[in-house]
Amino acid sequence: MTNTMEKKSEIIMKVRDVVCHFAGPRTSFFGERMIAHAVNGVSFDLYAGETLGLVGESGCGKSTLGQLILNLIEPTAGSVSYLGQDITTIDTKEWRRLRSEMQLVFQNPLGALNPRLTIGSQIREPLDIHHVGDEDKRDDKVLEMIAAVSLPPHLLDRYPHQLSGGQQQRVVIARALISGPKLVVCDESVSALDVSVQAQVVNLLVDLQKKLGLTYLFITHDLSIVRHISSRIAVMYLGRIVELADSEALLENPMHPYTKALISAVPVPDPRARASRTTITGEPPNPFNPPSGCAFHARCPQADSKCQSLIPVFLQIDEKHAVACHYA
Amino acid sequence: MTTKQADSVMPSHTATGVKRGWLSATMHRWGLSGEWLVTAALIYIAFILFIAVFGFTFQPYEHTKQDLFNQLQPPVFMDGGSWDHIFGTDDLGRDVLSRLIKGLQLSVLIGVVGTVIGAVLGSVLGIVAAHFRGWVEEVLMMLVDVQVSLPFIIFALAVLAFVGNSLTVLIIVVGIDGWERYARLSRSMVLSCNAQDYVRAVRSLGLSNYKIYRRHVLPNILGTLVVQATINLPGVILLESTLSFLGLGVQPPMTSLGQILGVGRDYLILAPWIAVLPGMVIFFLTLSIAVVGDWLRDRLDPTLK
Repeated sequence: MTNTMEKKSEIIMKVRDVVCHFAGPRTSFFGERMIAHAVNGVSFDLYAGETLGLVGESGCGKSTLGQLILNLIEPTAGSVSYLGQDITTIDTKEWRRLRSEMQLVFQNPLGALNPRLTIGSQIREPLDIHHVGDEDKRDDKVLEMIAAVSLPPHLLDRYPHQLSGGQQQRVVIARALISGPKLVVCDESVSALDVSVQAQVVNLLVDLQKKLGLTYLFITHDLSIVRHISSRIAVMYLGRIVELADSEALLENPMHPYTKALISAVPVPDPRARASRTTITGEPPNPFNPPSGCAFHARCPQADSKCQSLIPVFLQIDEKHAVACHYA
Repeated sequence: MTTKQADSVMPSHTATGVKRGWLSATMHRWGLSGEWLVTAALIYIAFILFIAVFGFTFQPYEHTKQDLFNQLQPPVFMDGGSWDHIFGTDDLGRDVLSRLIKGLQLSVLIGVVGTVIGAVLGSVLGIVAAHFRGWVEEVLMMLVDVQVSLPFIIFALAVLAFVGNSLTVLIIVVGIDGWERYARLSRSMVLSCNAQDYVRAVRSLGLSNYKIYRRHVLPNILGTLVVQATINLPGVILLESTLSFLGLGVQPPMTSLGQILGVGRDYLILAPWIAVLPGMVIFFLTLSIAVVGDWLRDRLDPTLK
C-alpha cells in the first residue's frame, strides 16, 4: 500500500488553499447575507494511481471539496491544478473536454440514473458526448465495459428501477469509467448499499483501479471501508483537513484528537476491547458561525486557551504524517 | 394499477385458451384490460374528433340555412318530430344536427389550439424561470401571481372588448388561460429535476445544457405536463363556451357549441333540445378527457409499469 506514497509518483492534482463559501440567508431584512464556510483553506496533493480516503462527519465540507476538485463548483479562493494546469480559470470548451478525464460516482445509484433511459444508452452517453471512437463501435465498448463491472449484457435493455442497488451502482461506475478518466471522485459511493454488496463494489473499484490505473478520491464517513481501500487518509473537520497521513500511520498512530475519537468510534468485534475509548461530546459547530481558533476546541478533551484563540497550522510531522493541532 | 388484475386474468386466459371478444382483445392489446370507463372515454373522444374533422361530409343542411316555416321543430325521438330534422330545429328553423356538427368543429379547434398555446407558452416560461433563476425567475413568477389573482373571465372580456373580436384573438385569449399553471408546474419540476443526481451526473459528464433539457429533463416532466394539458383542455372548451354564451366569443355566422347553448337558453322551456344537446356533448367531452388524463398519468410513469 505504501508504495503509492513514493515521491516519484506523479502529482495528478494539486489543491492549494482552496476556500469555498456559500451565501446563506440574510441575518435580518436589511442585514448582510450569512456566509457558510464550507471549505476553508484546504491544501493537498493527489498522486497518480493512489486512493486518498477523505473522511469526516456530515456537513464538514467533504462533498463540496470533491466537487471543487472536479471543478463542478467554483472555489471562492485558491487554486486547483490538474496535471500542472490550473482548472479553476479554464474556458467552457476546455472544461467540457476535461469532463472525460475526471468523473464523479454518486451515493445514491438509483437517483444518479435517468429513470426513462435504458441502462445501455446511459452507459453509452459519455462516448456520445465526447465523440469517442466510431459511432457503430461504441456499442462494443459498452459491452466491454458492462463485462468489466461484472454485469450480464442482457441488462443493457433494462431500466434502472428493474435493477438491484448493487447492479445500479455498477452501472453508475461503468458510465463513469467508459470515457477513460484518470481521476474518479467516489462521493459516499457505497454508503447506500448493503454491507455485503458494499464489499463487492469496493473490491470491484480496487480491481478496476489496478486494471485501468485510476486515481481515486474516496469520500466517506465510514472508516472501516477507508481502511480497506485507501493508501492515504485525510480527516476533515469543519472545512479544514486536520490530519493527513498514510493509512497505516493514521490508523495506528492518530495524532489529532478528532481522529482519535473517530477511530475509537469504529466498532471492534471484541466485547472486552472497550476499555480505552476516546469520546467527544457536543454538536458539530455551525459552518455559518465557525468557532474562533481551532474549530474543534469546544469538543476537544485537550483544548486550552491557546486553542481558543489561535488557528493551528497544518504541519508536516514526518514524511508520511501531517496534522493541524497545537498539541500533536 | 392494472398489473394485479392482468396477472390474475392472463394465466387463466392462456391456460384455457378462451377466446376474447374483438373489443376485449383490442383493449388488451392497448393495455386497457378492465378499463371500461377509459375505453368508453377514448371511443367517445375518437368519435368527437372524427365528427369534428369529417362531419361536414354528412352534414344534412347548411348550418346557416333558415326555414321559418319549421321553427322549433322537436327532434325525431320526441312527439311531433320528423326524420327531416333528426335533432329538431331552432328558433330560426335551422337544423340543430347541422349546427352541432359545425359548432363542434370550431369548439374542438379552439380547445385544442388554445390548449397547445397555453401549454407551450407556460411550460417554456417555467423552464426559463427555473434555468436562469435570479431576477428572471422573480419577474416571471410575479407575472404568474398577477395572472392567478386576476379573474380570467374579466381579463378575457376586457381583451375582447378592447382588441375587438376575431377568431384568432379568441383562440389566443382562451390559450392564455391556464399558462400560469403550466409555468408553475414546469418550473417546480425542472428545479427538482435539476437537483436530481442523474442531471448532475450528465452535467458532470460535460453534456450541453440544451441536450440536458432535451434528453434528460423534458422526458421526465413531459408526462406531468401532458396530464396537466388534459386537465386544462376541458377548461378551455368551457371557457370558449362561456365567452360565446356571453356573446363575446364566436360571432355568427360562425357557430360553436357554447354559442348554440347561449342561444338555446331563451327556449329552454319551449324547446329544450337546442340547449340540452350541445350541453351534453360538452359535458361528456370534458368528462372523457379528464378520465383519459387520469389514465395517462399512470401510463406515462415508467416505474409503475
